[in-house]
Amino acid sequence: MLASLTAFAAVLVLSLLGVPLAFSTLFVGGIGILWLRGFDATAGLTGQWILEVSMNYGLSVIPLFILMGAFIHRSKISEDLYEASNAWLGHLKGGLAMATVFACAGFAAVCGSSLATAATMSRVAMPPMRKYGYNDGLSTGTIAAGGTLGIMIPPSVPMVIYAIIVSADIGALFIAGIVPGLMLVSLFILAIAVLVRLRPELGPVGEKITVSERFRRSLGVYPVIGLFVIVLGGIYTGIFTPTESAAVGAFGAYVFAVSRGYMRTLKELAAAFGEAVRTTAMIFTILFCGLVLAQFVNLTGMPFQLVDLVVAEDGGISATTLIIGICIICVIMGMIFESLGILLLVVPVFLPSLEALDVDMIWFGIIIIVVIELGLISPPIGMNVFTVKAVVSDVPLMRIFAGVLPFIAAMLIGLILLFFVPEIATFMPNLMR
Amino acid sequence: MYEKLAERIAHFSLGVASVCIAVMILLTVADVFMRYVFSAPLAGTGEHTQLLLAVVVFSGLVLVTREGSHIMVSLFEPTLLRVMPKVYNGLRSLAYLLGMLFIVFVLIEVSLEMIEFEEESEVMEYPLVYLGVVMTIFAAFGLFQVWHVTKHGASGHSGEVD
Repeated sequence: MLASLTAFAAVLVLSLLGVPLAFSTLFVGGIGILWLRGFDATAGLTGQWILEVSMNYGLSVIPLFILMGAFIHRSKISEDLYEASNAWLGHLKGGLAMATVFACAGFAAVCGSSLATAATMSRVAMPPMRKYGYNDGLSTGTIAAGGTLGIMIPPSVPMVIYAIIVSADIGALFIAGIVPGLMLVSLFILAIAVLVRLRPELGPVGEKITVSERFRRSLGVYPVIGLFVIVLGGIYTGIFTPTESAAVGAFGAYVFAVSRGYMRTLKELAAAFGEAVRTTAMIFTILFCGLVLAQFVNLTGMPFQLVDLVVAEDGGISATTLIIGICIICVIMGMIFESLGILLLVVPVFLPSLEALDVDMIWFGIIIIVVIELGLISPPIGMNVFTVKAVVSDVPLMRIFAGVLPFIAAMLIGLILLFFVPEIATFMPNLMR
Repeated sequence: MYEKLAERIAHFSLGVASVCIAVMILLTVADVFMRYVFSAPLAGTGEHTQLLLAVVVFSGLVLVTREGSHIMVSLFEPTLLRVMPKVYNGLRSLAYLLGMLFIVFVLIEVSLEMIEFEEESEVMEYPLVYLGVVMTIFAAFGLFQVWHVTKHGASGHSGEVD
């Protein structure tokens, strides 16, 4: 176990010194295997992981969903989503903030990236909230928190990575994310409602419009809803595999973009494809390098020593205690690493223990995603907070962090609910089976 | 001379990766269409997708290396850049160089094994060595771009090629 812990410490030090996460895990994992098994085994195992990851059919959803998101967000759909949400909720106290949460959820449903959701919605939602005199802390906090829905509401890249690590069904994990995602949306809206009830000056009422006008303003988002239904409905009903669903989604998103007057020039296409290609390469490099480290950790026997500790006859550890422990580790790691790093460093280590305790890996995956979401808005890193800050530079960082506090509380409530009512996550995937 | 060649390689890599993704989408959509409309799915679509994915990953690696946009922990970046900029940038460049060198070396080994054992894909029985060679070439292209990130820094998209 000492060798594994030393390896994790080395990865941490290298990462903090600016070595990319992919290379720090590759170096430490590679040197570790070299030490245990020699040079040939190091080259052989690394080559095996490179091939397995790069040619993994399940992982082919990643470039396709990223491209789908790139087509959609480059079609300026965010404005339409916001306008539609605002039409239905804007007249309520704090309604513009609630509309922002809905727009974030809608954008997340076709984008799959928390950072892209936060960055895009900062540009779209901030000006109207300022126009109606919304408090900057509430506005930016809402956007940062709403952005986290990007990795919970499918399609979600971290969910794909998690599914590959634990050999779970990607489609089932996507479907499992729907209800918890909607639950978080509801909790965020509840948090806003409570806030403006206590301090009405934070979120004044916006424009009130007729019902027919609300429907008219929602016209622009119907194709996106349709795309979401086709993509997830296809997986849920078994018509498509996740890869097929991603390809159909990307194709549909392209048609949608062209119909709105975008993606008609080579330059626009190259930008969208470039986004997909770069992100794919970054994710896959981290993945195969991270798995080399995971292989080393496996060779040291640490995961199996943990199993012995967990299922020891003279007082093992309960599943609840283990999962709470893992969540605490993830929250601490979330202060330093981003989602992929957490998944690759934590999940393989505890996987045998979780399996030994018969933990439902789909449910656990949703728990981990919520914990990662928490990391996205928690100090000191809180990548979503920094993303919002980068766009809305005149709001002090501390005010944004203060603004996300009610949403952190909402997420913790969501986490507790998920913990005690696992059916929130498992109900829909169980219906699939 | 180097800058021009490196930029051309990056353009080429982006083009190859984009075409591969487009083919992945078209093949898969066509397969779904043929399966449900004519009950005649296209043979080996999944395998073609797998092979194309590998090309996308390694051609994308050329761009990511050029731009220095690998995911990293930037918690202490501002401080380190202020206190010891040369050491910090040097360490990062060294990491890129060693990392890419190791990946190229491993891929050469993998390709040699593919030749030795005459490995083929399962469904279409394509000789896998061609894929190994393509992956190795793109990884070597990535290695070629390390100088760019050393010179221009890892500013995410400092040398973005569209």
